[in-house]
Amino acid sequence: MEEQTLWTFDRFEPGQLFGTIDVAMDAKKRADWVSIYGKTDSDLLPRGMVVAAMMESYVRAIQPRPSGNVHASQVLNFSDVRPRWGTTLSTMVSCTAKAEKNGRFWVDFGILVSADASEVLSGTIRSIWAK
Amino acid sequence: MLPEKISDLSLQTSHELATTYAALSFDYNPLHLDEEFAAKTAFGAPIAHGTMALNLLLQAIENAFGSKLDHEHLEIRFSAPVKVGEKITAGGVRADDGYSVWVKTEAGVTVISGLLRFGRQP
Repeated sequence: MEEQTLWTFDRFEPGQLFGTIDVAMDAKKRADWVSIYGKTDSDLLPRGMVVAAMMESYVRAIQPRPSGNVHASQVLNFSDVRPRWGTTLSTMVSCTAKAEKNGRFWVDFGILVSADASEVLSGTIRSIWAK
Repeated sequence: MLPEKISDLSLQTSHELATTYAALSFDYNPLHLDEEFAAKTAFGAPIAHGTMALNLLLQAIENAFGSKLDHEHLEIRFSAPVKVGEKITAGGVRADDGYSVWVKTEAGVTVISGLLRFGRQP
């Protein structure tokens, strides 16, 4: 099996695309969500579940990654689209900025989450990359 | 009419919850799950996933606004780590141009702080 190269700070470039990742909002996800945050009567996806799917896509899109990255801040712009459980969320992940400050490696990742081609969420994950 | 405050919502974190959240978000960073690994980091012990606390805040926001949610813009900073095992509480109050929002530990340490606004952002 071909060994993949670790994603280090040096490899990131603003404008870089990491592809689009699909995550199904299936019964397992719903069960995990409920076991953490409690039961919801609504069939609408909680906003937080969209964020968890965004994180899954971000993690899946950039592999392998060093251990110990830190999520420093987050911007979220939700639309008026409210997907339901059972749908599939598609998340496009990109690098929007990077900077080395005081020995820390800051990387901004743009995310765009859609359901059935309608935008649900856009935003920025700001990370301190481990190496 | 919009509420003056976002009512408190709490979550007791635990290793079990961190493991479930790792599966939910596919984030198996050992910083959240592996005591031995975390002990060698600056945190000294496993810390909860940042978005586990962020999603508690989003739940509190959903509880407060229900079907009125539309084009929310949220900017937050993860200002301190949550040690796995700590209880956290999310909430917020009306501010000039939206809501000042937070997540705090029982000791009163702010772990997430930020601003929530509504409406399309430029």
